[in-house]
Order: sequence, then C-alpha cells, then structure tokens
Amino acid sequence: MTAHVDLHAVPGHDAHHEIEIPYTVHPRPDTGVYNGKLGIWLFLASEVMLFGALFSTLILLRTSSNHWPRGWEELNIPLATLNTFILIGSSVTVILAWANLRLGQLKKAKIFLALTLLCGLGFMIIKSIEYASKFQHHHYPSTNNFFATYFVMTGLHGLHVLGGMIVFAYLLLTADKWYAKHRDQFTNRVEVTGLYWHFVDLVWIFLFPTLYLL
Amino acid sequence: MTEHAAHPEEQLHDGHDNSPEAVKREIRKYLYVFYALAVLTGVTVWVSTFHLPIHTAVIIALIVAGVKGSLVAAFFMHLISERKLIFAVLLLTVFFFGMLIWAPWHHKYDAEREWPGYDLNAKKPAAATPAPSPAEHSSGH
Amino acid sequence: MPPKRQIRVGSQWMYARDAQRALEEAIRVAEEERGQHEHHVPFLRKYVFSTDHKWIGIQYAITALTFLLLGFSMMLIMRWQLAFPGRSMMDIPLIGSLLVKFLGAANAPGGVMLPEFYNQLGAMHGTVMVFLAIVPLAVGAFGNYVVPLQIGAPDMAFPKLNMMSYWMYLPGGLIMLSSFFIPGGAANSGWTSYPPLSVIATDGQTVWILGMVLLITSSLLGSVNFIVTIFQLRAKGLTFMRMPFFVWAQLVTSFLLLLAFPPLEAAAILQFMDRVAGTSFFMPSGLVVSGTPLANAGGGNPLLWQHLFWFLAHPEVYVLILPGMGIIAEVIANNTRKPLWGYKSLVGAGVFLGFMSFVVWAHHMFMTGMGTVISAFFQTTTMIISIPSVVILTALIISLWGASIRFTVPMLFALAFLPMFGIGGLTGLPLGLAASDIHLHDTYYVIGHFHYVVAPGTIFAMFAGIYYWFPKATGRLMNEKLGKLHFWASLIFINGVFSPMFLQGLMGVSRRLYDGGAQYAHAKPVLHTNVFISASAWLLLLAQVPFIVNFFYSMFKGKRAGANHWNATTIEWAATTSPPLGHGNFVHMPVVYRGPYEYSVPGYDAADFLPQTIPDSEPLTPTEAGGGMLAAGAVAQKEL
Repeated sequence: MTAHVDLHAVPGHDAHHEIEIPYTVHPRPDTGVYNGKLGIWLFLASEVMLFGALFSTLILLRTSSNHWPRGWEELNIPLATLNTFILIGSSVTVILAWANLRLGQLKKAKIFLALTLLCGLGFMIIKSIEYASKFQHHHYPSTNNFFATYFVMTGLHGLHVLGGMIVFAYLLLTADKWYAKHRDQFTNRVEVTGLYWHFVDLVWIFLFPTLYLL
Repeated sequence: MTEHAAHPEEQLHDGHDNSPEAVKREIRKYLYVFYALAVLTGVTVWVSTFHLPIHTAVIIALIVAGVKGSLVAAFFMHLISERKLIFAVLLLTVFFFGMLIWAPWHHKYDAEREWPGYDLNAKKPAAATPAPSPAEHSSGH
Repeated sequence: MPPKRQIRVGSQWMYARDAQRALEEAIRVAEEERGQHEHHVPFLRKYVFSTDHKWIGIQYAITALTFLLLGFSMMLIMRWQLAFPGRSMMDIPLIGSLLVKFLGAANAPGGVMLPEFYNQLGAMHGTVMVFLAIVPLAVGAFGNYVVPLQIGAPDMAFPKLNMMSYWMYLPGGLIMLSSFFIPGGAANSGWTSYPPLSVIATDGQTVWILGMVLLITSSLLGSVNFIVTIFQLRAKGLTFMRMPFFVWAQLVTSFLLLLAFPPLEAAAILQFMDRVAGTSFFMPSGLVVSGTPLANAGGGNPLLWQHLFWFLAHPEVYVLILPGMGIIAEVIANNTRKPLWGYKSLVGAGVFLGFMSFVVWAHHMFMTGMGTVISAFFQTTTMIISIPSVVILTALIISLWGASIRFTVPMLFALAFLPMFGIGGLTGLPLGLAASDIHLHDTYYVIGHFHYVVAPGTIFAMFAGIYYWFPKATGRLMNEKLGKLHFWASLIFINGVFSPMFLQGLMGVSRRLYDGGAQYAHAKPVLHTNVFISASAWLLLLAQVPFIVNFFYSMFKGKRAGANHWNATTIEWAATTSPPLGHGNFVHMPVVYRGPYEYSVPGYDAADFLPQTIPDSEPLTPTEAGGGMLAAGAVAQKEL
C-alpha cells in the first residue's frame, strides 16, 4: 500500500477490459517457459503415472500367471504395425504444422493439421477393426487377463487418441479466426497440443511391443 | 487469411529461433527422425518373428522402444533443448514411475520366496499336497 | 503547506487509509452506476461459472464445509450404534422419530441400524471427509483464494480451467452422495474399497468409482493450475525463498496430487472393469461367494489394488496436512510479531516430506504377507519421513520462544494444533514399525492416530484459516467471544472423542465393527468408553453451532475491518478489503522488497511489522500501511 493513490489506474472500468494473465504467450525470463508449455508438461507427467500404473498391473499379472499367450498367438501384428506407422506419421505431420506456423505459412499448417487428424482417424478405424475381430472370436475383456489388459490398455490409449483428435478438429475449425487475431497464442496452442500428441505416440511406442510382440 | 513469410520483425518471441533458415533446418531434422523411427519399427517387428524366449525378447524390445521413445522425446518434444525446470519435473516423475513398477512385482517376488504356498493362483502346487486351495491362506485384507 | 503525511485526493487532503476507503467507496458507486450497461456481467457468468479465483475459492469453501458437516453427521449416527448396539434410534431425544423416518426401513427397520447400513455410513464418512471436505477446503478453498493474492498475481494461470475444476468437484460429490438412495445403498467396502469385497459389493460401489473419476479429474486440473501459477505468476521481487510458507505448502501439495492420483484413477478403471465387464484384475482364482463359485476367469491379485490405492492414499495424507501446516505458519508468524524460526528448514522439510511421501505407502500393507526385504524397506522410509514432520513442528514451536503472543482466535487454534498434531504424529510411530503394527493394525488405535492428525490437526488449522482470512474475504470481523467459545468447546470435546480410541486399540478392538466390539470378550473392559466417545462427539456437534452462527451472521452484520486488520506482512493484505471480483486483485501490481515475515524489524521503529510490498525508501506508519487493529489507536493518539 503506497501513499499515492492513482485514480486512473483502477482496472475494470474499461468496457473491453479483461484480466491480463502474464506469460500466456511469451515465456517468463527466469523459468524460460510460457504458461501453457509448463502446464502441458505437468499434465504429461501425470499421464506417465497413469499409464505407469497400467504397465505395473501388466507386469504383476503376467509374472504371476500360469499361462500367458505370446503376442503373436492372439493379436493381429500386421494391423498394429500399420497403426504404429500411422501414429508416427501423425507425429511428424503435427510438428510440421507447428513449424509452418512459425514460418507464417497458415495454409500449409492447416493441411498438416488436417493430415494429423486423418491419421488419428485411421488409427481409430484400424483399432475398431481389431476389436471387432476379437469380439467375433469371442475374446472379451472377461475372457482372461491377457485380453483384459489388452483391451484396457489399448482402450485407454484409444480414448487419448480420440481426445487429441477433438482438440485438433477444434484448432482446425478456428484456425483462421485465431491466427488473424492472436497469431502467437494460436501457434503456442498448436505446439502444446502437439506435445500431447507426441506423448500419445510415445505411449504407443511402448505399448505396441509390450502387448503384441512379447 | 494472410499468407506471408515471417520477416525478422514478425517472428514469434516464444523462446525459439524462428528465422526461416533455423526452422527449415529443424524440419530436416524431424524428417530424419521419422525415417529412423520407421526403420526401428520394422526392426522390432522383424525381431519378434524369431519368437525368442521371453526374457531375451523383453530386453531387445525395451531397448528398441527406448531408443524410439528417446528420439520422439528429444526431437519432436524438444526435450533436448528444453529448460531445466521441465527436466526436473520429468526426472522426479521417472523416479516415482520406477517405484510404481518395482514395488508390486517385488512384493510378490519377495513373498513367494519366504512364504511357501503364498501364490494365490496355484502356480506351483505346494509340495506333497495334491490339490492346494488358495483360499486357505488368508494373506491380507 | 499540505498537512503532514497526508495526500491529496480530488479537492481534499486525507490520510492514505482514508483515501483507500474513499477510493473503495467511489468504485462501489461507479460500479452501481455503470454496472447496468457496458460492464454488466451476467449472474451465471459472475457467480455460478465464475473464473475469478476468489469466488471459486468461496464456492469451494461453502461446498466443502457443507460436505464436512454431512460427513460429520454420518459419523454421529454411527456413534449411536457404537454406544448402544442394537438400540433403536427412536430413543434419541427430540429428533429420534424424524431421523428414523428419514433413514427408512431399508437402513434401520424399527430404528435399529442394520450392519449393511453401518458399513455404508463408514465407507462414505471416510470418502466424504477425505475427498469431498478436507482436500477441497484446504486446497480448493484456501489455496484458490489465498495463493494468487499471496504471490501478487491477478488470478490463477488458467482461470477457465479453475472453473472446470470446481464444476467437476461438485457433480462428483453429489453423484457419490446420491448412491445412498439407490437399491443396495452407497458404497460399503470402506473408503479403501479393497477387492474382492468391493468387486462383489452392491451398485453403490460403481457410483463411488464414477464419482472418484470426476473428483480425480478435478484435482488434476487444479494441481496443474497451482503449480503453473506459483512458478509463473509471482510478482516482481518475489523469489522462491521470499514466498510465504503457505505457498510452499500448496506447491508441494499440488505436486503430490499431480503425480499420486493417476495410479488410483487407473485402479478405479480396473475395478470398474472387474465389476461391470467381468474382468479379473483383482479377483484371484477359485473365489466362492455364499457357496457359489464365481464365474470369472480368475488369475487376478487383490494386492495389486492395495498397492495402487495406497500409492495415492499415502501422499494423500500429506495433502491433508501440508496446507494446514502452511496456515498455522502464517498465523503463528502474525500473532507472535516475529519472523518464523527456521524458514529455510521449514521449506526444506516440506519439500523432503513431499518427496518421501511417495516411497512409504506399503506401511499400510505390513499385514499382507510381505517378505522381510520389502517390509524393511518401507519401515525404514517410514521412519525417515517422520523427521521432516518433526522439523516442521519443532520450527513452529521454537517460533513461540521470545514472542509477543496475541491470543486472537486464529492463534488459539494454531497453538492447539501444535500439541494435537504432536500426539497424532507420535502415535503413528508404532504403526510405522512393522513389529508393533502386528498388534495395532486395523484397530481403533489407527483410527485414533489418523483422526488426531486430521481432526484437531488439519480441521483446527482450517478453522484458524477461516478466522484469519475472513476479514480479507468479507471486509468484516467474526465475533471474538463466539470464536473463543467455539475453540474451547471444540478442543475439549474433540479430545474426548479420540483419546479413548488409543486404549481401545491397544486392547485389540478392531475397526469397522458395527457393534463397537460388543461381541468380543477382549473388548469388554473398554466397551464403556464407546458411550463416552459418542457423547463427546454429539457435544462436539453442539460446539460447532457458535461457529456456524458466527460465520453467517458476521458475513452480513460483522464489524467492518480494514484491508490489513491483523497488521500482517504478506502480500494478500496489500489488496483492498474483500477484493472485487473480475477486476484483478491489486490497484497496482505489487513489487516485493523483502521476505514474508518481517515483524519487529530491528532499527525500524515506526511499526512492529514491515509489509513485503513497501519500498525500502519510504517506510510508513501503520496508519498509512492500511489501518487495522493498531491503526485505530494510533490515529486516535495523533488526533489528541
């Protein structure tokens, strides 16, 4: 509290006034990051713990089990391999989208965002085919713990893919408006969503061999 | 919708070097990483066709996945040039992740060594007893 | 010549404190005039789906306090059954027949509580208290309201995310409570929900799981928000080692919530699958229920649930205590008029405590047939973790040495916290040692231990915080006489409730027995203490009446308070009284020049406190520093 009261500095009496949260777009000097980037990494740390718990479950159940099938005995490796390529490809397209935004190329960025979305869709379609075939052969989560862990881990991962797709769709639909008004903030949002998407890819990089190839 | 190449004055100030040359160099890096990831995926699938015994298979699969994951993290997620703060958070997380992976398994391993017949799922029948019933042992709440 | 130490406002000369009042009045008038047109925020956006951290904090506070009362009431009903097993609740004076009608014949036919209903109350009491009351109060209410103000920020880093956190918490809580009204009733397998029992339990358990998923999501969004806010939005000059201990406590707490909750979320999904999809994650082979073998695949492990559950639930208890310790630190510094002893030790201990809390969880599982290696590991880490707790308690106690103690109501609660938390902490030691835990595990000793830490521990800290920050949030003072009555009555009766439990536990009375041990010979010598405990609990409820009355009455009719009633040093007191919503928090964004507890600064005679935001070049008298308890006297002196 100072002895000088500045009557002109009272916030809130401008009709367009909004509270300005610092470091939304530009990084804070001492931490070196902007808010969204720190936020997404913290969120990803929590996701590491979430999938970690499931991997721990898998290890415990598998090492306790009398009979645990090898991946190729029960699962469709060619389809899953294709899915792996699709997901890795989508990781590239999303980072190319962000790179193009940094270069100021909105049109190219939108194309790469759309490709990412398409890859995600492809991943989910192939996943549905896989699941459908399992159900046809009467392999359900309740069949045994091999299938229980398979369905839960790929299912949760699939939900994360879906979540990412929804965000990409939103970014694509609002790209023009956002880029025109808040270019830097939009670029940051694509970067942050990209980080999330790379994490989803990262989980699959471990999930695929663990479930299918061992 | 304006289409324009970023001039130095129009560059983003987000902690990255956003000059066109720098970004194009990065794009080339991303493509190399993609090729590496594709190759490694092929390798890991090919190795699995050998149907190696489980322990060997696990080690090889984890190594390949580890390399792929590191590439994604280091280059796609820019961890290789990221701030100490982020690293610190991740290091902490990795440690707790390790605890979570180790403890339940080690609990079972330790208990099986010391408590005969501990196994709930009758993996190894107790010596001299034809049909052990796991429900007999009240291990825990 | 202008009058000394006065400033010009418009055409008048006045003291800065009066200028502040005039300014606030002018803002209020202008608000009302202009409020109708361009600056009008719709009611729904302003008060229901608010993104202002202060209002969200208040939403959390009201909701959490309501859940606290509900959770307490559940226990009060249980205590009838424990004191008078099998006796009809119609015998309860005044409210007996109403209560029996409310509970219904399904839960208490003829007014006699069924064991099934007792189990529901037990499971929900724990769940409501931990997840719906204490953590939302400590973190959601106090954290949200105070942290941005204490670091000099305009709001949280992600205001919309903050709003979503609250709006996942409230539905999550309501969904959980609604399970009382479905066939089969609420969850009844303890707040710990151990399988296989929880997997074969009634539908209420599924509702519990769904509620938990919402609550965990709310918590995760909140913890990201807190950490980013504290790292990124600190005011200029506020280095980490100048932060109030309360902010450090919230930072560590948020890391605990961020990294410990996800495994429970995973476990909840797995239990959901076991219950609904027939999987066998936690169901071992060969289970037989009521004579019928279960038709599932088997091969699961009930201990997996215990590991995943306690991986969260142990850090969760530090989530329960740390914000409370933060509040106590603030109140003690303020009411001793001297800096806290050992600020660096406090911070170091808090951070170390947070880290260690992740590696001790299996001390809840000593009785599950763990081998010696893993038992020894967890016993060792548990003994180590008692050290930072002791460091924190010791630093707070030493802070009293040589102090000018002001026995305000917040300070009374803070002083009581110290020995109460001491008892709670010390009684944890025989539980953390595997050998003595053999006798004490799952007895009333455990209940006594953890309630001492949470009830006269954390809840007293919450009361201290409410009495302390009430003037800031509402601009009014709570009544001191009612506050003292609330304090003394609560202190006496809360000890009456929990101290006999140690004796019961040592005699071997198990927890979760719906008749309080009446059917066991070894419990006979201590059965009579059940009546004493129940009576103390009902009197404890009465003791809360002065508080509830005080809280609501003072909100509207309490004596007006200045912006810095307690003459405190931390930044939140530099904001206006009851900072208006949606306007940021400060007239000027604050700049910080010193540490958080500069009380009785040697060489500075104008006052016994030097706020963090006063520039070095112009130290002020308390009058200009914003008024408060001392200022009224000082102004009176000056005018004489």
